[in-house]
Amino acid sequence: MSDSTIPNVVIPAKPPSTLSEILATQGRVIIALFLRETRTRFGSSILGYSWAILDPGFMIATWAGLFHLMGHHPPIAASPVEFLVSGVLPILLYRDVTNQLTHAITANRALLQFPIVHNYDVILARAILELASFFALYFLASAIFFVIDLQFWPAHPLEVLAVIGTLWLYAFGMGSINAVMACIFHSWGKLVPWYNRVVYMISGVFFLPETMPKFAQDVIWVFPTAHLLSWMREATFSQFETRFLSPDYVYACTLVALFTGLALERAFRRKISIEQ
Amino acid sequence: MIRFQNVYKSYKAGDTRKVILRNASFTLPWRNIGLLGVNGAGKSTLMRMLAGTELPDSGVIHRDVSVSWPLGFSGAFHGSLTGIENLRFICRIYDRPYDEIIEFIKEFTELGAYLGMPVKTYSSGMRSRLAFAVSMAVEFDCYLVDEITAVGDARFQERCSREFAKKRERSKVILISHADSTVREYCDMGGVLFGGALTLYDDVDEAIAAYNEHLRALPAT
Repeated sequence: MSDSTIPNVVIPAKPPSTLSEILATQGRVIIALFLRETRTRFGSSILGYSWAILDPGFMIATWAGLFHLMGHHPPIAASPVEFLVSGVLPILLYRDVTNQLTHAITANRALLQFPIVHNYDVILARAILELASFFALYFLASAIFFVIDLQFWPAHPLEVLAVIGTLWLYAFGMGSINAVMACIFHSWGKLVPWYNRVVYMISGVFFLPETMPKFAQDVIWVFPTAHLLSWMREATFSQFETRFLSPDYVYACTLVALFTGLALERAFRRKISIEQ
Repeated sequence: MIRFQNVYKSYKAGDTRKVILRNASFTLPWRNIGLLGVNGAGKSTLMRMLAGTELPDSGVIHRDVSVSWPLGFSGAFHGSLTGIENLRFICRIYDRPYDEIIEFIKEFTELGAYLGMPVKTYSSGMRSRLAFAVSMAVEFDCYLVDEITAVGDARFQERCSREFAKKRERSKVILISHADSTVREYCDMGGVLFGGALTLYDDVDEAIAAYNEHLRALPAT
C-alpha cells in the first residue's frame, strides 16, 4: 500500500481576524455556495434549466392570449408581449428571491454545521443566483425580441439596472425576513407563496395602475413592487411617464426590509442555531 | 485557546429544561482534552458550542484558534451531488488546493469510481470514509471529535489513526468518547461535564475516575 499523505503545503485554517480576511473568507464561502446552489437548483438535467425559461414563457403567453381574446391592448408599448415581459420578469425576480430565501436556512441546516458558513452567506448566495438567472432570462428575452422584430432594448438601460437593483435589494430584505421567520414559525413558508400571489396580482404585471379606479389605486400604492414595475416601464418605454412612482417610498421600504431582516437574524441567531 | 465566559446553556427535554452549563467560566488549555459526561449531560451540545455552530443562552465564548467541524460528520454532504462535487465545495470554503486534495482522497478512501457518483448512492460506511478523509484534508488548530466510531476495515482504521497521529503533531484534539481506552490513548487531560459545570482534570485517569463516580451515582435502570 502506498503511503497516502496530505500535501505538505498546508495553510492552517486560521480564523480570519482582519476585516479584509473576513471579507475574503465570506466571499469565498458565498461563491462556493452559489456554485453549489446552481448545481442543486437546476440539476444536471436540461429540464432544470428549461423550467427557468418555460415558467415565465407560459405566464407571458397566457396573458398575451387573454389580451388578444379580449381585444385588449396595453396603453403603452407597441406590442402586448413587450408590456408583459417588462412586468413578468421583474415580478418573477421578486417572487423567486423571496421564495428561495424563505427556505435558505431551513434547507441548509446541515451546511451550517460547518463553522465557517453563516446564515447570511446562504441567504446571499441564493439571492445572487436568482439575480443571475434574471439577467440570463432578460438577455434571452431581448434576443428573442430582436429576432422577431420587437423593441429589444430598453429606452434607458441604466435606469433599468437601477430599478432591478432596487427591486433585488427589496426582495433580498423581504426574503431574509422570511428566512428567519421560517425558522421560528414552521407555517411561515406556506404563507409566503400566498402573499406573493397577492403581490403578483396587484402590482400591475398586466395592467397600468393609473388605469385603475381611485380606491384600487390607493391599495396598490401600498405595494413597493407596484412602484417598481411602473418605474421599470418608464425605463423601458421611451414615451411613457408614470404617475405611479414614489422613489422615496420604495427606498424607505427597501431599507426597512433590509434592516428588519438583519435585526431579526441577530435577535434570533441563537434560536436558529439550536433547531437542528 | 478557547475561553468560556459566564456561559449559560440549557436545552428543552420534554417539559423540563436541562442545564448544561450554569454561568460557567473556564479556559480550555492548549492540550488534548477528553470530554466525559453521562448521557444527556450535554457533551454534543458543548461540542457544537466549541465549534461555534450553536450559541449559548447567555455569556461569551472566545476562540483564537481555528476549530474544525465535528470530525467524521457526513451530514453536510449533499446527496445528489457527487463525492467529488462535495469535496470541491469544502475545498472552496476552506481555501484548500483541490487538485492536491483529490489525490489524497482517492488514495485514502479507495472509493474509486464512486467518487464520481452521487453521495446518496453510497453506503453509510463509504460516506463515513469520505467524511473522515475530508476532515483530514483541512488543517485546523483544534479538531473536534464526537465519539470516534470505527469506520471501515482494520486496514482503513489503521490508516485513519496514522493520519490522525500526524495531525496531532501540530494540532490539538477535543474528543468525546464513552470508551476509557480511547480517551487514554488520545488525550492528556480530561474534563467532566456534570450538573451544569465542566470540571477540568490535569490527569486523564482522575477525570475517568470522577466520571465513573457520577456513573455509579446514577439510579439503576
